[in-house]
Formats: sequence, structure tokens, C-alpha cells
Amino acid sequence: MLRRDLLKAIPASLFLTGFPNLGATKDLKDGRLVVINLEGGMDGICAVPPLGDKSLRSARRDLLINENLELNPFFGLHPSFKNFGSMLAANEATIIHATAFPYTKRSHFEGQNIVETGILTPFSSKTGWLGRAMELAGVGGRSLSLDTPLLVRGNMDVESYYPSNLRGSFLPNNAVLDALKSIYEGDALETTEVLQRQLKTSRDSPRLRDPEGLAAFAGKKMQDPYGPKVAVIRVPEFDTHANQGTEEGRHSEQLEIVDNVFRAIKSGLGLRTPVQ
Amino acid sequence: MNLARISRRIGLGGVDEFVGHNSSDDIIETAINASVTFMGIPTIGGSIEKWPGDKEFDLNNRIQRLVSRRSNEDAIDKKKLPDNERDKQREVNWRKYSVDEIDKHRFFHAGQYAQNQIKLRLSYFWLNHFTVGSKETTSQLISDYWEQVILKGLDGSFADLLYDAITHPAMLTYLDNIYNIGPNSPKAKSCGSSAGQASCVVGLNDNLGRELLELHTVSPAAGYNEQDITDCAKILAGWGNIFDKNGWSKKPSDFRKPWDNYQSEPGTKRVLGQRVPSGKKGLRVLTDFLADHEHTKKFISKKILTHFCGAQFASLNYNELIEVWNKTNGDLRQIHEKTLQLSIKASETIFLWPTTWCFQIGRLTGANIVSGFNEIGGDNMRSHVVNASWIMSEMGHDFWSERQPNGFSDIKSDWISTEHFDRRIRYAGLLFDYGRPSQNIDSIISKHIVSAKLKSQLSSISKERTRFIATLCSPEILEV
Repeated sequence: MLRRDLLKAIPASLFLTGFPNLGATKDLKDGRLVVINLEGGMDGICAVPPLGDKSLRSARRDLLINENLELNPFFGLHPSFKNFGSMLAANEATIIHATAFPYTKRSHFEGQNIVETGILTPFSSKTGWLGRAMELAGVGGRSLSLDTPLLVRGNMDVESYYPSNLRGSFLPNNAVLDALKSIYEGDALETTEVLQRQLKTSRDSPRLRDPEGLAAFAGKKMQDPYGPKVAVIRVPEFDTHANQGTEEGRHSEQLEIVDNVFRAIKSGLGLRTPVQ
Repeated sequence: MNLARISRRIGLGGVDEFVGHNSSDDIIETAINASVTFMGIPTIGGSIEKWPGDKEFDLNNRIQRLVSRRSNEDAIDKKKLPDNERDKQREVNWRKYSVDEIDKHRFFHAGQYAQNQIKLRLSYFWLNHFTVGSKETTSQLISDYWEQVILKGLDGSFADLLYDAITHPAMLTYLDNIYNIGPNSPKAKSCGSSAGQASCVVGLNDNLGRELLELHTVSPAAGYNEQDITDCAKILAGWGNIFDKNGWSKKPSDFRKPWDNYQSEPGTKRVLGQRVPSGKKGLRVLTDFLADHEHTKKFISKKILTHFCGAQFASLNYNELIEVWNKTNGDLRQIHEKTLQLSIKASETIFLWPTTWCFQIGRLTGANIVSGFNEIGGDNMRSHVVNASWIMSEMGHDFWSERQPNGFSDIKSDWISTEHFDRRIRYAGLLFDYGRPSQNIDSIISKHIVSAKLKSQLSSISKERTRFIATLCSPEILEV
């Protein structure tokens, strides 16, 4: 059973587990940060519904989930969050609800841009808050997507990982990468160097590229004391709009993906949640 | 500017459409005023011919297929089969009526073989500006949208293109306008106390109205507020009702510009100070007003110049394009002509979108690994004969993908990552290994690489395969 009274008020600085310290102590090995970016915007009231609020039923008649997990007398937890629920119960997780930056317009794209850049004027920065922080901390990271999310841009040492599925194609070999290194300068040169480094370790890489497979891979890599300290996992397609649904529906499926990502990272890291 | 580079910058890249023309201005003008002829190859290694008529589908045919698919699906569901059997039958039914695989091959073949690559390149920009991604039925409609709205729209005004894009069933579905029903509409009134129940869901959905302002026309710089967005949604209510109470029983001919007064919101609306009357004609009043708005001209002039000339050049020179816009009342042919002329003048390099790069290197080398039109969907997929949609999605640049309405980025840094680079290297390798290149890589280097240093670096690579890949993935071919 889930323990009651799990929603604790934890200051945001603790949520970002010691992250700024990494810059001060470059050789600190314990910190790991995984950011799961739910692109398009998760419905927070659906994920952690304030069931004790009298207006909830009338305001969200068509979006209400009936079979919520119980967090405390006021809040529930979406039934897709089974793993996350166990983590909450084991005191391994917390929820910071109804937080926002002071941007009140309703543009998806401006909002998302602010989430990633950490700067309140939309589209005013080419780097992300995480990328800048990693640069300060002198740590490399890994993004699990085809492109490099804005979130981690600003740090040159970012690898992306999203295994190719082009049938019949080969990993770029050393001769090709050496040739490309000889003709490139600047950012692109670094990209080829990172690729060459990846090539050395790619033999044991899984070919999975669903969010869960990527998350397990991230966890495994992050176990290595010299592995990446930061990972970003992007779960896209949260802009479900009119297709949000209730228990059955797109948004519930999306939340299940997130829940599986939590489990996969943990199993990748070799951690287990005690059974409650 | 080097002629080969000009050709790749404006879209030709490897096609000898320069023959017989005096100047680049002449070529641009000719292309902009000519139509596109769709070409393809029947099988891998086959010769280029006209795309076959039996693999083209008009909107009526597409809608008819959707209707048949839906009614067959209902019949399958009624059989109450075990889950796996039902799924199997659904899958067969889906394949029987789907045309998107053919569409994607037509798109890819066009990029490699069609006549008038300049116009196609312009169409990719607008297809992205008015993004429609996969959602519900749209995968079956995107090709019609691209050809009948975007490509045809290149010959008209921006105002016409805007109106046609917004009212196409693919857009109305993708941005949820099919669920946008006036709260005071005749439908809402007839629902009475049953409003809100499954058969009587009414209410505004402002998704299309919001993007119409933010992405398609004035942009947030215009300073509109939530009331403007709500009024846009009210104007749009009634557009896109392709269902009725019996499901899909409307005539396919109703789908081209689907308007239904029954779901529309009565009353005058106001957007950015413009008064908009009720009824079907209201939307055209709104889109014409937005099309002529100074913020639209500024936003789109900058955007199109960024795409074809580079971001820095765009921010310094967009007024030149606005001038043409004002003089010609938003005539896209004139706007495009000026854009491409400026593109030749601008020295800033532009990073090519992944599929644009695929198409160009296909034309430069004469190599191809994508199935011919007689091989689509068959079981003849040898490991090195590739489905067009796989390539587009592997490259992260598939116009049929599920994605956000702000479309693919024009910013180079959005496309730079180790994985993106890995895909380019792999694709170039596949072209060399299985694509039977007809052009010698050394002649491509001498014709298309401008920098003397790069030329000598590439030429000094001893192994041909490595030289081939390094050239196609070199900075001058990825960026022009």
C-alpha cells in the first residue's frame, strides 16, 4: 500500500541534488542528474489530481480519472504511475506541484523554450540552462535523442544517443572519421571526435530506442564512475489537446511511458525499490 | 558565386536545368512560372519516367478510402473476435485502404527526379510553415495538402495560400478544429440540457486559432491577447466538421472546404481590432486581414529569408522582401523570385535540411537506394533496398511524422548532433555500397567543392569509398 502523507514540502534546491556543487568540486563523482523532459506539457492536475478540491469535478468533468492511487487525503496519483508510486512510498521521490515560472501567456512554443533555456524572454538564448550548468561544472552528458535538445546546448561535450535503424548501413569507421576530422573545424570537428569516441564503446550498445530502452541504457552508462553525469530523456507528444482522454487515452499512455522510464533508469543504475 | 553552389542553394543541385538559359535570374523566373512534373523510377536501377497515374489519389478518393476503412473497421469490431485476430484483420484493413506509403515514395522520388526542383524546394518551406503532422486521419491527406494546397499555392498570393491551408481537412484535423464547436451554435442550442454528453460535445477548441496567429501569420510580436485567440476560435468554429451524427456519411465532395453552419458560432467577432462578420465568409475576412498585417509580412519575410539566405542576412535585409510584398499584394511568385535572387547574393551559408541533402546528393551522384514505385510495400525489401519513409524518419525529417506545429527548425544547431552526423555518414555509405552511383566522385569534387583547401583535402583521401562519404558529408555539401 502506498504510504500517506508523501507529498512533502522539499525546497527546490534539494530537488536539484547538489548539482551546483559539481562545478566547485570537479572530481566529485557521486552526483548524477537525469532530466526527463515531457515535451508538449504534461497535465499536472491529471497526473497528481487534487481530489480534495471541491471544484475539481465540475471544472474537469470530461478529464477526470476515477481510479487514482491515493497519496494523501487531498491528492491522488494517476493510476499509470505504479513504479513512481512505489518510489514515493519508499521515500525515493517527491512531487513539487503547481510550480511555474512567471510566464502567463499560453504559447506552447514560448513556454517550452523557457523551460529549456531557463530565460524568461522566449527565444532569446541559444543555450539551455542545463547545458550552461554542465559547462560551469565541467561535466559531459548524454542526450537520448536524434538531435541535441536545447536544454543541454551550451556544453560542447554532449553526446546524443539514438541508435540508427538504417538497415544494411555500417557504423562510421575510423578511416571515414579520420577523413572527416581532417576537413572539419570548430563544433563539427568536436562532433566527429565524439563520434569516434562513441565508436569505441558502441559494440555493447543496445539497439533499443524507445524511451524505456534508452533510459535503461542511460542508467547503465551512468553507473560508470567515468560515465556521463547528466542525461536528458525526452518524452515527446505530450501535447495531446482534445485527445487527452481519461483512463483510456493518449495522456494515460504517455504517463505510463514516463513511469516505465523511471523504472528503467533505476534498473539501469542497478537500484531496486524496496517493496512496501 | 560558383554556379554549382548557386544551383544547390536554390534547389537544383545536380540537375542540368541551366542548359539553354542565359542567367540565374532567367532560370529562377522560368522555374517559378512553370509547373512540377512528377517523375520516378519503377524499380531500383530503372530509368526515370513519369509517375504513374494509378499511384496518384485525389481528395475524393482519399476520403472514400477513409470512409470504407472506417466502416470495415466497425464491421470487424462487431464480430467480437479474440484480440489478436481482430488486430490482424484491422491491420489488413488498414493496409488495404492506406495510401501514405505510396505518397511518401512519390515525395521522395519527386525530390530526386521531378522536373522543377526549385519549386519543390519552395514547397518544402511552406509545407513546414503550415505544418501538418500525422494525427488521426491526416497521414492519408498530407500528400493532397502538399500538392493541391502548398504546391499549387506557390502560383498565387499569400492570402490565398493561407486561406486554403487553414481550410484543408488535414489542417482542420491536425490542429483539432474538427472539435471546435461554437458554445452558442445551433448544435449547442439543440443539445440543450444534454450538452456535454458524448453525442453533444460542444465548446471552443482554440488550437488552430492560436497557431493561426502565432505560427502562420502575425507571430507573438503582434501583441495579441487571449481574447483575440478566443475570437479566432469562434470564427473557425464550424470549419472541419467532417463527421455527422451517423459518423462518416457526408459526401466526399463536402471535404475540400468543410463548413457546417450547424457548429458555427453566431455573432460578430474582433481580432486585433478587425471586425469579423459571422458565417462562412468570416474566416476569409480574418485570413485576408492577417495576410496583409505588417507583422505577418515581417515575420514571414524574415523566416523565408532565414531559410534561403541565412539568419543574419535575413535580419538585415527582410525589408527588401516586404517591399516586394507591398508592391505585389503578397504575390508569392514575386516574393519567391526576390528571395532566390537574394539567396544568390547572400554570402552566408545555409544548412540544408536532411531530406533536401538526401535529394541533392542523390541527384549529384546518380545513386539511389529507395524502392521504385513498382516495389512499394512488396516483400522485395532486400536489406539494401530501402523504404522512403524509413529514410525520412531515420534522418529525423519526415513530413508525415507526428510532430509539433512549429515544424522543423531552420537553425543549424538544431540539426547538429553526433547521431545526426552518424546518419549522414551511414546514408552516404549506403549510397556508395548499394546505390550504384553514376557520377564519379572526383568530378563531383571538382564541380561542387569551391574551397581549394577542401578540394585538395578530399582529393588526397586514397580510398574511394572514404572519399565518397567524406565529400558528401563535407561542410560544403551539408551547407551551401
